[in-house]
Amino acid sequence: MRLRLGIFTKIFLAVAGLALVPLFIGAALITSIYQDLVDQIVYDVVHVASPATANHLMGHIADVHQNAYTLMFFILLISILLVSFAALYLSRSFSSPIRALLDASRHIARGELDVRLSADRSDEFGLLAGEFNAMASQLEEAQENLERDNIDLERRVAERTAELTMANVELRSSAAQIQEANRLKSEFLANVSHELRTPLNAILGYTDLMLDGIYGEMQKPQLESLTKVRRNAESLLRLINDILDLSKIEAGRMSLTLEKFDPGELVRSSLESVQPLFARSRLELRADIADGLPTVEADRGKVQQALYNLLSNALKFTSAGGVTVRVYADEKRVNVWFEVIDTGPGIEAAKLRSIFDQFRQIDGSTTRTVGGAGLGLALCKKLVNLLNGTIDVSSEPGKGSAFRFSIPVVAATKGALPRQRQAEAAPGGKRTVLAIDDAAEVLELLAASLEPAGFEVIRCTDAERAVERVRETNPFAVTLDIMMPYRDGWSVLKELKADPQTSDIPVIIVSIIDDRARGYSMGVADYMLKPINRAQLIKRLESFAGGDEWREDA
Amino acid sequence: MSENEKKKVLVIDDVEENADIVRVKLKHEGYNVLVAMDGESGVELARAEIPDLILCDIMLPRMDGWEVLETLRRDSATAAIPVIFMTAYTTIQFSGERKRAQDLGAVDYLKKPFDLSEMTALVKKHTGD
Repeated sequence: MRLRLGIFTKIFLAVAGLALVPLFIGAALITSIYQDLVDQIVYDVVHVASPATANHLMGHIADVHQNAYTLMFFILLISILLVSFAALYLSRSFSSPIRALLDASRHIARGELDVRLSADRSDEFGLLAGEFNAMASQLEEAQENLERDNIDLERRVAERTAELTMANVELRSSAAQIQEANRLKSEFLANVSHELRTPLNAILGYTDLMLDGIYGEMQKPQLESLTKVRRNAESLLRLINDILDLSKIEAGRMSLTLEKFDPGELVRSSLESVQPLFARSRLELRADIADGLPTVEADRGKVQQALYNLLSNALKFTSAGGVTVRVYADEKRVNVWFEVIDTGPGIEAAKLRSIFDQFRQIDGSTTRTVGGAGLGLALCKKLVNLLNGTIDVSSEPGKGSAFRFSIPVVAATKGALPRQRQAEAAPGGKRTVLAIDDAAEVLELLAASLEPAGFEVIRCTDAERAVERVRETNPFAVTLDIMMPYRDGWSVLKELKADPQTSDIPVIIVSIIDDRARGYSMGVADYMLKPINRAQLIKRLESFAGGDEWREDA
Repeated sequence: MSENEKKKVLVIDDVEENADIVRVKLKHEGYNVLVAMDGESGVELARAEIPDLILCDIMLPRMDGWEVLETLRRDSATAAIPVIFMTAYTTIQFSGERKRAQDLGAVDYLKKPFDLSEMTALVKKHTGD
């Protein structure tokens, strides 16, 4: 094992060693010379002087001898002490600044950057201390800058976070506003359509009564006029229906009812019902149904509606000749095509592109001769898109037009509907309602009210587990109490509305606390006060079923 | 055919013209037609007269069509009367509502505006004529 010696010890030993070795050598030499001299004197005294004198001198010599050694001893002792002190001083003068430097370095390493060395020495140690201090100052400054930057960065991050949070809140509220605006639009259209239909019902009804001859026989001109009234009322009704259908598709509220059917049969039955109209216009109506067509899974009513629109279009524009309806599958039997070919005036290539746009007919003059607002083809395109198919047209002016659309043989759910997931009954056939209330008897009452109306009620008395239960069960709707122990309904509501997985599920507050403004501002679908009005609650739950059709009337 | 032998049809509709058209047409077809202009009086009239068939609008003042149907079904005297809903919805697309109507015992529905011959055919079908 190597002996580790500090700088102090090394310098001390070096200086002391270097100074003491010549000192001892010198002392040994002097002693030896002095001994020789004394020996010479003793010899001379013994051989030259008388015995008495010799004895006397020998006594003196012994005294001198004694004194010389004593003196030598003291000189050596003082020298050693002086050398030691000198070595001590020297080694200290080296080691103490190094120690100070070491100490200061340790402080800096610990992050205490404010330590400084005394730089009052004029030697290299003074310079070193100066440099060290400068370095420490720079470090300190850098550290301060870093801290300042960090604080600045933190502040900026906090600012950005706040901005983002703000933007998110705004986004969410504007999304809610858009949703609300859309709902209002649909409601408005539904109301308007109801208001328009009510007088139309009277017009058509009385016209029918008169045409039936219930009020007595009529003259021919009267009959003809009334027939025109009826035809126009019917076309007005069709227009209202088209507008409503278009707006529903646009709002994403048109639902699809899938069923399997034979496309050939669909064409045959459609042609049967429009045959009288074509016969009246003296137009030939032919069906060209390919053999071995695949069975199609789609919304039969919508396919028929699209086909009717094309047929009524063909009827409107064709004055002579006939209309052929072809139905065939493509080579891979992935799509079935329905094609309506007429012998009408045809359409110029430049005008083909915009033919499926809303409120656009090929020119103003045609609008006057054939009438109609040009919604049929736009609706047709929307319907076909909803069915995940494609629509196109080919035409040659003077020869006629061919409109065709395809629908996939296997239904693909592209027109996925908002809330479809919840609106459709669960596999068990019942729609589930998750009822949250800390009072078990309230839940029993809710269950007793809702279960006969076809809902399955999942009871949750633990407010702390409510959000988790909603995620687990993905219910059709949630009823929520406000005053509950451990966690109140507001906080449950807030969490439900913040999570995209649960934010779509309608929540009805059922509470004794009347704070509707707060409830509605937090996105509840309805706010009901206890005691529960059974009929009202069921009615509201039924309204979530997504069907606007009946609500127009309710 | 005397008044007593005629089949009785109750029409519940708050729009006077609608009720009138149905009344005139059905009277012409040989029915004894009663008219109520709101849900409550419709239920009262049904209890008093026990008609063979009820044609009922859904959007009605005081008591809507759903409630009329529920009330009639709860009363054993009126529970068996067939009810046809008349509504101004465009297309019945949501099977849940249709199912609800069926569950409550509505036998059929008529889409407004409806064809009078279609209405007559439905009435005949459900009165057994």
